[in-house]
Amino acid sequence: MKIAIKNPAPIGPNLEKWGDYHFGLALAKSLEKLGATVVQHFWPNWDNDDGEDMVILLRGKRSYTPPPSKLSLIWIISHPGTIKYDEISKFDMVYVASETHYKAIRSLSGLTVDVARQCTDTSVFFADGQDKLRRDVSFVANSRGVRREVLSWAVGAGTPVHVVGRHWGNLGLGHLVKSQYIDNDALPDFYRRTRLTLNDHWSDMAHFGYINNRIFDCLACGTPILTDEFSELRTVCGDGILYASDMNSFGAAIEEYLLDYPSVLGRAQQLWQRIGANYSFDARAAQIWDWATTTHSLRNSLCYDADGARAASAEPLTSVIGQAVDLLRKAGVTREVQTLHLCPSPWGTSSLFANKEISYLSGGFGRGPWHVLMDCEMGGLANKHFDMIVIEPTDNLADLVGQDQVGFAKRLASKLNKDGVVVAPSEHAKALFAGWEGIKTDKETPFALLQPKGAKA
Amino acid sequence: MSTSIRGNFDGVKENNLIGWVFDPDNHPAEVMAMIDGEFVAFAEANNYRPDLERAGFNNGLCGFRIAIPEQFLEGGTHKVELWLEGGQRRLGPALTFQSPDAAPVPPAAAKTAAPEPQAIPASALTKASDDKVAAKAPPEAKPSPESKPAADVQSPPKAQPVTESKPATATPAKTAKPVSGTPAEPAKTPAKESKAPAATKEVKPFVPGKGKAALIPKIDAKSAAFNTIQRSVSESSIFNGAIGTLNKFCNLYADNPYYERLRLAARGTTRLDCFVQISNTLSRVDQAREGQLPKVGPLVSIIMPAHNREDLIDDAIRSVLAQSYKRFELIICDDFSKDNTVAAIKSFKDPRIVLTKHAEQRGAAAARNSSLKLARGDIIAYLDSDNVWHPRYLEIMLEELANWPGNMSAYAGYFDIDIGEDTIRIKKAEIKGFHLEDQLAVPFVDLNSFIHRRQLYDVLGGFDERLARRQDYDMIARYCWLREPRVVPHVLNLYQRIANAQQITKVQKEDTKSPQIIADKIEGYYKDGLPAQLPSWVKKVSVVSWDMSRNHFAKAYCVAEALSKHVEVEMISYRFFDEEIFQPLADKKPPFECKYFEGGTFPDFFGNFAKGMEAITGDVIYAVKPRLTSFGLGLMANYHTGKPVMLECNDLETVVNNAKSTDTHAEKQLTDLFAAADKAKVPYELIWSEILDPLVAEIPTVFTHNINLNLHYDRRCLYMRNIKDDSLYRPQDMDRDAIRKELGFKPDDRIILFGGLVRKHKGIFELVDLLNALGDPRYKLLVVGSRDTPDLMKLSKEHRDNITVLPPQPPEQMAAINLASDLIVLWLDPNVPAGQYQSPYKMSDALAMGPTIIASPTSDLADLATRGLMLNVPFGNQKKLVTTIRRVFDQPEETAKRQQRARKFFEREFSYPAVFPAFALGVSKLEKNKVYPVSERFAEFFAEYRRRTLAEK
Repeated sequence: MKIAIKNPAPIGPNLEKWGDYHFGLALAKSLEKLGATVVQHFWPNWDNDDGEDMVILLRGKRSYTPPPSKLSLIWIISHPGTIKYDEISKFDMVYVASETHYKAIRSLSGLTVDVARQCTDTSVFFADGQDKLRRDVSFVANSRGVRREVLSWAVGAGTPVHVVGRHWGNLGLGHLVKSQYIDNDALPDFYRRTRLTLNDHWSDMAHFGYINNRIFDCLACGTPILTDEFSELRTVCGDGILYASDMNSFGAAIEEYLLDYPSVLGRAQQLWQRIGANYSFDARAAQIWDWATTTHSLRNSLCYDADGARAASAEPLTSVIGQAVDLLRKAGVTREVQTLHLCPSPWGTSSLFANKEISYLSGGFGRGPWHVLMDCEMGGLANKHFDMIVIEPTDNLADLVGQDQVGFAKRLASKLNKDGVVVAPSEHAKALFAGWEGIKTDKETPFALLQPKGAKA
Repeated sequence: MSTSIRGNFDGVKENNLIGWVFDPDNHPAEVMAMIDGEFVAFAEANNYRPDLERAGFNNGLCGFRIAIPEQFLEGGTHKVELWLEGGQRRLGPALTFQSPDAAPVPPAAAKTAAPEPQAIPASALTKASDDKVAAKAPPEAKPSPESKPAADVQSPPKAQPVTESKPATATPAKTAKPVSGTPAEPAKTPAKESKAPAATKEVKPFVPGKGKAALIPKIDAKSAAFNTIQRSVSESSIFNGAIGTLNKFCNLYADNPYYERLRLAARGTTRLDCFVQISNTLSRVDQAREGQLPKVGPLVSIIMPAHNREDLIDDAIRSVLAQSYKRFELIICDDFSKDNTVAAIKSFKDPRIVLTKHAEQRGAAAARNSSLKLARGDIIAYLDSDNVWHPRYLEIMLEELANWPGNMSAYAGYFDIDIGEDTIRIKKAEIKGFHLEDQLAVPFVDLNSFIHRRQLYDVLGGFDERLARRQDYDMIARYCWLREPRVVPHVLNLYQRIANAQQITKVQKEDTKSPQIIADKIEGYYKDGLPAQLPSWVKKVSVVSWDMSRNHFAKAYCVAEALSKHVEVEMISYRFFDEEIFQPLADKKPPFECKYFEGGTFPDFFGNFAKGMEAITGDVIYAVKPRLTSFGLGLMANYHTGKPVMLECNDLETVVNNAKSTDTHAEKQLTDLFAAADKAKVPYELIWSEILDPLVAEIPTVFTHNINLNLHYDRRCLYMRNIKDDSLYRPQDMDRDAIRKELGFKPDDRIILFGGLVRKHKGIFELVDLLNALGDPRYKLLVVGSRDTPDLMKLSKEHRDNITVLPPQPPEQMAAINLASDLIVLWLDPNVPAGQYQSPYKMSDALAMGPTIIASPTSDLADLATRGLMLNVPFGNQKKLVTTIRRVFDQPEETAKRQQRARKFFEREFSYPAVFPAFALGVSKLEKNKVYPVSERFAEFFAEYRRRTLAEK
């Protein structure tokens, strides 16, 4: 399956400085591990079409309307307050990064919603066990021109903070800034050497229960966090992190950090041991992949064919099956033609199933939109024999044939009645059925009609 | 000289030289034995022999028997000579004897040749000067009246007494061994040996040390100067012992230039004390350690400058390569030699030798600095290219530094060898205790026998290249300024003054510029302190005092104030008592940032404890006293930030509270605190000191000011004295008479000052008794209490006539009071442990301002009295105290001298300018950004303590 990620990071010299850029890349990497082909469409190139089967919109600031012909998923990872029903209802799947949000919208009609919280790339964010080298209380954030409470509390409490970010000078906090920017590649090491990370959420995020990815990045690095507080965060992280909601609670948390760091560190690391497996991009990709592949497959069974192109592609198969039926009749088969349809496409199924001269049974490797779950030994068919076996060139075919092509052909032959025929894709016929007799092979047509040597149709 | 002397050298019997001598005018006569030209022993001819009795010689009491040393019993032919009157007369002709080979030989072969025992009349005894004549016409031996051989003396057949006309050193027998006065060849490497045959007559390869003979005269053993002097029997025994053992080592280690050169120098020496030192070194070092291999320790960098030393440098290098301690690098800087010095160096192929060269002559200081720049070792040693080390020099010095990790340097004694055109002698061989002002007046520490940790170089810099001479004097003065070096009580190395060599002492003798530069520098050090350098990462220091209300705050404050002149400082402290701040400092305006927090008890105090930790913004933490809110705070801060912590221990905290004689120091495990949870709620309770004290061992830099604390902390401490602001403690700025008048004293009053906290263990009540014992109304006691203690109140009430009591005084006033006083008595009760671990502030005051200090010999006070800085009287010996006090006034010149000496000592170690270099030295032991294991352990413990305490709450 080919997937396009609509990534809100804007194309330009600072592309790689955007968190969404790295978010999209990490997601793509994990999806590719599952077999997907992934392209990134950065803003403003969201109208690009690379022939993808599915689009994933990483919803930040920008909205997007997905093309109806493609499977579509919107993943709301920030700014949940800006989302409108009309926008998300156009997507086949809506992922929200909070249970709170999910509960609020799941019952709305016309929406398929699931929870997919923020996560981290565990191939780069991981703990190295060197806790002795951790130094400083850090805060990685730009001011965006507004005071951030957690930093105000730190300043008020006299807690020295190592700030990485821009625009703090105007707020009189420039003296805390050690650097304006940290390269994403350097961020994991920065967290691994940080003793405690301060964290806060935009108010709307906290309101909707959105936990930001810094929490998971830090936890994956084994780094304790002192953050603002909301109930979803408490639910997910429990006492694995420190919380503050005002100056006093900040002071208490810092006291605990200063005087009981072994416990603070231990709790953070135990938390990640407990939840880490569910908060990786791999976990999210698996969640997406599972939904996408099932939905894609089922949706195809509708033979929804907006431009009729796919229907046209079924024509050669219909034609060769007609010839095969004629041949079998001539050979004296008068009953309904016993037919096994292997690796069926929705269009092939539609064509064969509608043919009144055929008694139809479909099969494929593993689970899928067919009758019989098969393996390479064709054990699922027991003693049944067929007048015709039709093979379609879908992706399932390679799995079904396996390594032993000769054995596959022999097993097929054993499943044929006397005078039985095989309809197979021409491109595979020569390799799969070497030595068989081509009753009708036409290199110009996509399907070949074959019989084991000696049989007479 | 007696003319009636009679005697005979009977021969060799069973490894002994046998004979007899009788001098009726000088009995018992002394016989000097030499074998193969080497001195063997002096022996008294006083043994009983029946044959001599029968012959009528002194009732038979004039025989002698001299054991032949081992090295002459290992095969070969040896020549024996016996001499009388210190080598003036020969006892019979020389003879040769055949020593059995090391391999087993038939018993008969082992027998040695011995002439017939003969009694030789005085006329037959030849003067040394007549040797030549005697050799030509050996005196005929006349049989004595009863000259039959004694039963125990064998007379081997054909024994031919031989007299030699040539000096012993020229006999062929010597070829098997290094010849006296002839330096042994350097150990050749195989590579060098393989080149040797290629040399032809035309090509004259450079031979290291070939010109040495022209520089170092030879004295043969018989002509040794000590032979000639009048000696007692015990003195002879010292010569015997020294030379006998030296011979043994010369024989054993023929390739080592040390023993041979020392023996040569000894021959020209008559000073018995030198022989005592030779004997001491040989017995306590060479013999005591024979066969022992020292433990491998740190790398030692040996710094050697060289300029035109082709004839001498091989001895120096060989003495380095012969060191028992093998882990060294010898970095030689050739200062543009024009002779074959470089070739001489290169003839040694040892990979530990590093050669660097100057492209122009820049002088010894620059050459040493060039070597120092290359030094990789933790320990630095120096050897000049014309001197020679004892083979165990490095071993012994490294042991000393390993035993005293807090000391930065050490020195050993050396044999000062004077080598003239045709004379050689040990000029002196002494070792004396160190006091810098003594060293500055008449230097006695030699750079070649001085070793130090590299931190001194890192912090204080290397040699002053402006100096044409006395660079070593300048450097030793700087390196020993803050703390005396360890004295290694052995005379080890050979410092050679060679008349014919171009040595700096001689070449630059006329240079007057260098001494003036040094004098100016030293004056500056006294005034402004020793220039020192901090590493660039240290920009700010956090001084942490556990409490600010009481007197313990003063030291932390003084350190902070002194440091603030050199580096940014912040002071962090807690207020645990009612006093807002330690009262004498109440009006001070600190020139540094102060961060003060309220004290309290746990669990409420956790918050402020954490705040104190967060307040630390310095790059280095200087915690004062191993208390929870100073040292404990520092450890917690180190745990979080990796900022290094240094600790000053100026009391033994476990015995200092309410000090009494029954106090005993106790150390406890961290977890013991959980069993004392109630007490532990008070952050300055004893239990905290008991669990923190053992942790001191685990941090890199610990300061103290007291030998007993230094010993308590395993001799690891640097020194940070109880310092005073020198700008306030300036006698020259004050009018002593006016101050005395103001205080209500008459001009002839003799004021005894008691300053500080009035407590029983400080001896205050004994002082009151003293006034009565002195019985002189001129003696007055002036008490300046730091606060109202019960003891002080009692005192004021009971003795108001002859005691003046003043309230606590600010520092400037204390300076004036000290100037006004005549003496202070620091009579610390040795039975009260607290006193053993203190350095009284009033001592600092007195050193600065002049009153004579009379102290009990407790901790450092004993050593300081030995160094002439104060007087000691044992605690409780009032009679001696009375006489000592009177002496102070009866001997005004001595008192004034002591006063001047004390003032210099104050300026050097006790004044504000002393703080920064001492601190810098402490920093040099620190690593930036390193969490100590002890900090982690303490943080885990403290977290557990907090959890338990909060759970209780």
